[in-house]
Amino acid sequence: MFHKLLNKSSLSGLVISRCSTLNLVTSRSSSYGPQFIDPIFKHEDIDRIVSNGELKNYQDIPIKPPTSFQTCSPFYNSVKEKFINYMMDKGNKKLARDVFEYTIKAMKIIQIEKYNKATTEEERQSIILDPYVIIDKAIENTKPMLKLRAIKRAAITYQVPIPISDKEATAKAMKWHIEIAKDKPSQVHFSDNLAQILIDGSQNKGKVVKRKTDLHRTCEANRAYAHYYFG
Amino acid sequence: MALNAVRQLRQLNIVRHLSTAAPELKYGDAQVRRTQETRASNHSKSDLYKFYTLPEEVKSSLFELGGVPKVFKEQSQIFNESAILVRSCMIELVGYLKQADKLDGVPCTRFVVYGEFGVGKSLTLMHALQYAQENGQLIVHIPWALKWFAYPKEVSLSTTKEGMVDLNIDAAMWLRHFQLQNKKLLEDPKFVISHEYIWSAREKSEANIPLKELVEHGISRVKYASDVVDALFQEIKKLSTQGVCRTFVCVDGYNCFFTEHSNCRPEDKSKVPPSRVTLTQSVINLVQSDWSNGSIVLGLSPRANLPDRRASPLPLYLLKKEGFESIDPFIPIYVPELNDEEFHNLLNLYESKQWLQLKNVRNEIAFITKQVAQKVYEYCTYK
Amino acid sequence: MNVSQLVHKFSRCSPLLLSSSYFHSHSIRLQQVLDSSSKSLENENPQDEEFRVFVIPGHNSVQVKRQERKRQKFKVQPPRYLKMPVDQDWTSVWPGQRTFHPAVVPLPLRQGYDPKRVAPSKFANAELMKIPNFLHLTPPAIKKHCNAIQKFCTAWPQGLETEIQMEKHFPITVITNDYCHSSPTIRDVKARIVTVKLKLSCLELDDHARDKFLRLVGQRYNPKTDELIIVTDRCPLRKQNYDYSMYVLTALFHESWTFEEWEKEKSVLDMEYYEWKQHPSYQSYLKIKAFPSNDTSKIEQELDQDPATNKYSKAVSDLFNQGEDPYTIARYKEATLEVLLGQKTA
Repeated sequence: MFHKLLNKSSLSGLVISRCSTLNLVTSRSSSYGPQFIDPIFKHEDIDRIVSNGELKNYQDIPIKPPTSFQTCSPFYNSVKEKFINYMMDKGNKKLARDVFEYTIKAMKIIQIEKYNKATTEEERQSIILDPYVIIDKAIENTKPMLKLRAIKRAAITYQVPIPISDKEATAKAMKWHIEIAKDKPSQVHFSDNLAQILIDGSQNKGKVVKRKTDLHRTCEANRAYAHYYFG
Repeated sequence: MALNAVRQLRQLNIVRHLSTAAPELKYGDAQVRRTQETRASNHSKSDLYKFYTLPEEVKSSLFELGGVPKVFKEQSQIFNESAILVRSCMIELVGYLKQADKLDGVPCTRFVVYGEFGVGKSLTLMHALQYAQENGQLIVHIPWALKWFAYPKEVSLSTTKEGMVDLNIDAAMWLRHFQLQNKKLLEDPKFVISHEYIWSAREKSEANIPLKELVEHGISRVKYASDVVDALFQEIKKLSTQGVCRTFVCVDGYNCFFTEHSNCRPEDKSKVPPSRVTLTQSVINLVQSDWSNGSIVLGLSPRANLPDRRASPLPLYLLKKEGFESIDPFIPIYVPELNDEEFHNLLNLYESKQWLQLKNVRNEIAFITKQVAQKVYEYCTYK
Repeated sequence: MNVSQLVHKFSRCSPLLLSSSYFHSHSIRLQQVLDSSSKSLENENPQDEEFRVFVIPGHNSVQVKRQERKRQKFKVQPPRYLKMPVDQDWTSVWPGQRTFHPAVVPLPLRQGYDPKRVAPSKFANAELMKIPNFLHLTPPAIKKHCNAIQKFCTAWPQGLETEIQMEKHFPITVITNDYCHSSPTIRDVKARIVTVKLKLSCLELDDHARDKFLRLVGQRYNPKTDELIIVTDRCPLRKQNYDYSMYVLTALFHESWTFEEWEKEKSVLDMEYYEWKQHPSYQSYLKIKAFPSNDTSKIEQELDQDPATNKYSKAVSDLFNQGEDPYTIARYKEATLEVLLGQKTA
């Protein structure tokens, strides 16, 4: 995909192509080269490697150090850490973490209340009580399948539907949750709102799911432009 | 094996960050251990480290207007049940109270409950209050005394005592609390006031009117609420000494009466120390041992002190010399952190209520929270 | 043929004036001419004289190779330490205080830091020269010194072998300093300061006297070491300061033994330790014991004999005097349980 874009821009002139490549490549410089592998910090992973006898394979490979939030604690959750990073504003991670933890508490309270109110066993079984399962489900339900990219053809900009990678779709889903949770009256707490939105998302309803279907609908409407993506 | 592996990996530089492992704790089945005995006076050593449910009627009659710590209130709302862990300090305190009740003709005995923040001092007091209610004692309960000095509703200069300050709305609110807690007892015709109280040129409470009316007067005429509280305490002392009733006095956060300053600002906007508030004088007067047929339980908390004096939970440090001498001699009762059995039973409860959903996390929780009950709850809440 | 003749010769054949600067600048060439003329002088025969070439210095260029300047090489002696025998007398090599010298010290020393190489060696190492060395104070050197001055010393007094004996016989330590340095005056103002040290335990004091003494000396007493330090520096002379410190010590001692009339006004707050009977705690205890009557004077005598009361009194005093900790609180609890509930603990 990247090559194609490069070719396309080279048509319109060398200078522009350079600019566009510069704009497109926004990866931050890393202090660790491509030969470095991600750190292994969970006890289970380490035990597995040792028991499989794969320890030899790691002898000569350089490994990145873990960040301060990658711990072997049983409470560690990679989705949680990602979500906190998306919520963070101006590097205030403490605040973001606190707000996220309040969200977890709010979710627990809502679900347990429902659980206590439920009369039949079937109803109880359907209620998810683990907040992290709810978050996973909500993200899974709100991941878009396509995205729109503005492409200019003959002085007209078209919104062209193009495929989206799984990583990008996950990021988009998380960001939508945060964006929609911010749109609230001032009396309501962000964490409570986010909790409700996540629970709605896990049940495949609510504003975020609506936004996803809206996007899909626009993509469907613009399907005629899809070929612009190929040049 | 696993340890060896970790060591090997350390040498290989794969593991650069490992949290220190918490000490291994043993715990049996994940069943919550409960006791069916809900009467505080019947709790014995066999009920130790087990949960009992606080009866709804006790909760509504005793703690409707305060007295339950915030965290416990929240927890019982979520769990749909007020489960209290029977601890050794509770049984110890109730045991002493039973002994003190048997003594006759001696001035009332003072007990001081102290301990670190969040270990369960207020729950111990709640248990003692339940015991007092079960035994038909007149309850004088000040839920959290710091509330008067930290967030006073209205501060006015006293008309009866020179240089003193009244917290009339707070006093009226407390009178309401007192009225609710002793609804049944106050109906008793034996509770009459001994002499006449003159509030102003037109208003006065005559001698031999029921105590109930005195309380109602304080609630309806907020202006005199502080003086009514003082009069009420005097009457209670007299009634108990005469043997009309047995009185149970409970003050949570007693050490806040001896701090250097409070947030009470009368009209001249200067901060007034708690010693210049009329309610302080009344309460300190009440806990003196110049009356009999009663028992006094005082809760001390580092949180009731100003932030610069919270380093130690020990009574002399919190009360200072002045406060210590106001209640000396007393029986100190230490509330420790949860022991292993209590800790695992508490986590069993949290797991059964789906509050804690992860398994194999107890070591970490025990290590991080130092097995302090409130911290355990908060750690389980936010994870 | 001397130079003056030669110059004369030149002056005849050359119209050029020979200024001194000119002469100087062409000194080498002049030398050449001088050599050739001396050769010609060797054969004395005037007929054999060749036709002399008119030489114009600077014009008729003579190709002379300029002599290369030779770099002078100095012969450096090898370092002295290489020639030193192993069993030499070091004190005669390094007899006094001196800056470090790498050739003299037979040690493979290194000092300093180089991020890429090993630490610099001792040669041309300013780091080693900067720091003070004690090469003149080796144990054998000190031993030699001691042996040399031993004949001037007297024997150590008998019965003063240990520190305890010294403290017993000489409880007061007087510390003064003498200063010796190169300056126009041999005096130093700091020499007048006299420090007197002594242990308070060597003075005979009762409770009152000790308390008063401590209040009088204030910060000069160190309770951890039981040491009193008096520093006197007000007077210009050392002897005056010494006399004054001795006077102060005497005055302090006798003053602490006197009992003034105003000392009766000492209140509870001025007390240096907690005494239960002087505090409100005792009054409230009496009231509890006398309840319901208000007359406490009757039972006061009885309570002095009561073991429970004594235990309680000790517990309260310990709580204040020893400080509050779980142990003192536990003792207090035991005592109050016995006093208030009549519950005896083993």
